Amino acid sequence: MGQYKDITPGKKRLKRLYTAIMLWFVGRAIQAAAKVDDEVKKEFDSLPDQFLFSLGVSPNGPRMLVGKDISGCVKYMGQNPKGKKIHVDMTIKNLEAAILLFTFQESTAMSSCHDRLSVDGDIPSACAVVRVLDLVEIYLLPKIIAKLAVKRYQNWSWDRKILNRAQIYLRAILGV
Amino acid sequence: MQESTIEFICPVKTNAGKKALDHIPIELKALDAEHPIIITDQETANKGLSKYMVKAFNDSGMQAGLFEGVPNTADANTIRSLSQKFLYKGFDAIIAVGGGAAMDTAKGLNIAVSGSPDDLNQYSGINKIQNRLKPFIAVPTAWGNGFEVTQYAFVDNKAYASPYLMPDLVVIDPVMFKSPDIQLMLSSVMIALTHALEAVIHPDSNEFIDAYAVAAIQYIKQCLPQSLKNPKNKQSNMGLTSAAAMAGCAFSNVTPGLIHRLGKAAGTLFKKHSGLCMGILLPYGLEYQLQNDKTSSSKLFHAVDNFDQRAKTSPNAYKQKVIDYIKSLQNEIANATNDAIPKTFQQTEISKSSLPAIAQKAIDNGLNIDKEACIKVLTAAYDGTSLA
Repeated sequence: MGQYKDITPGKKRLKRLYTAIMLWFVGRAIQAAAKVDDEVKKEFDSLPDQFLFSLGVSPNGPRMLVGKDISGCVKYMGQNPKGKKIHVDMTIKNLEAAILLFTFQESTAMSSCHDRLSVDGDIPSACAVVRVLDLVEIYLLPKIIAKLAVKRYQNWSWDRKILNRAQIYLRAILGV
Repeated sequence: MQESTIEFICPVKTNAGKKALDHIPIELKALDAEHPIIITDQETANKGLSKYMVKAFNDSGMQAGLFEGVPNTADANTIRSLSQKFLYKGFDAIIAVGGGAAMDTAKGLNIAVSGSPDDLNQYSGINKIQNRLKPFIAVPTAWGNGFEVTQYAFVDNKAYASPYLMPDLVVIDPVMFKSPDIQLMLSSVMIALTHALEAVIHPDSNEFIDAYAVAAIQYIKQCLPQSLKNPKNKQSNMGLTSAAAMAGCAFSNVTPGLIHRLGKAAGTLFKKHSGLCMGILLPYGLEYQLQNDKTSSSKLFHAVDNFDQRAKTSPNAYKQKVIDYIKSLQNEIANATNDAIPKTFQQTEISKSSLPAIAQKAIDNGLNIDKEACIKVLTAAYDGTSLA
């Protein structure tokens, strides 16, 4: 059969690496924001005890897990979902969709409209998670980029934005 | 309201838009498939479009096979050798990329591998297939024949019709619409428009069919001028293919009508793209079919005309407005392509004396209309004059 060939799928190493770094940093930033920002703290308080959510790329892509431990502290729980009870599992359907999300060409809400995300779990909790992600993105990104990433950009006071942002960055890098 | 029974089938999921191809691996998983074969024709391979399909599988962990040698028309020998490869390599899904021949070959292959290769002989005709077939994904390009999403397949001049032949998923991604051959694309748009218009006029039409057909007509009306102005505009080309998919869904729920059968007969007898012939026949066939059908005239008028015209037009003028719209579309296409797309049969190699043969072939293939009426429509299409 002259024109037949087998295809072995390649890997998109750079895109995987970029997505993995973004997920790792956002996970640690959520842990930091839960200590620094009252609104993020309140969102997590309304979620059940030992709540755990996961955001990752299908099929074997990078993943982040964030949740409340036994004492109620919000912690970044790593990348491996094995053996953990996940309450809300948000899966990005492929690496290209993840790149669109993490290069802010599409916001989380638009990605969801375009059927690039699938959410497994309780819808109110999933909405709370998306609100937390939006708040953290406002802290992490400059206004011009954050406006593309979130549904509604909130105008905060100077000290909330700048001081809290510095704390979150520091805590995320140091992991405290 | 009178009691009526409505039957409508459309098992096709559609993924259209930016990065739609990259969704294929996860859609295959949802269809319980992990090892697809990708079938495409030489034209698609020459334009370099196969590489986008291969890229869509990067990082998916899925192995696939790629066959780039589908001939211009689907034939049983290619299907037989593909089916041996399919079974030997253990594929479990079929992805067809390209135009009509690739789609027909994929549908024929699906029949052969879901049962046995002898099924290709047994199952020609209408509704002979009784079981679900293997998962089938269709990725049309700009030069389809309008039948990609339909329940029809044509292999070696035999027709196969069954809802099980319709694809499980249609993927319409702008990258597949680079540099289309404008004539082929316009021919496939004409087939889509014929399908949509005749679906509305058909006696078996119902509200579900109308929803798809009218949406297709309106989408073609919106996208065609943009494509004519700028043939490289991927978004409008993608829109036309989406409209063809919608028209295909509507068309799969009715039997082919007058314009379709006459156009196909003319195309087969004179080796022309049937879309060109259907495009020529459109206004004259519509004039004949809408003679006493006020309901269809009204539905079609509301599909083709602007909102501000509706209040100014009396119901008696609906039919003429629809025909005028089709003729204006023909003129627009002729101007944009420097008369490469003919408006009457006289502008082609089809002679007036061969019109009865075209009518006879259409009637032999199942057209249920008087030969004289067919010849009347064909003659009007030859001369470019009204029927009355």
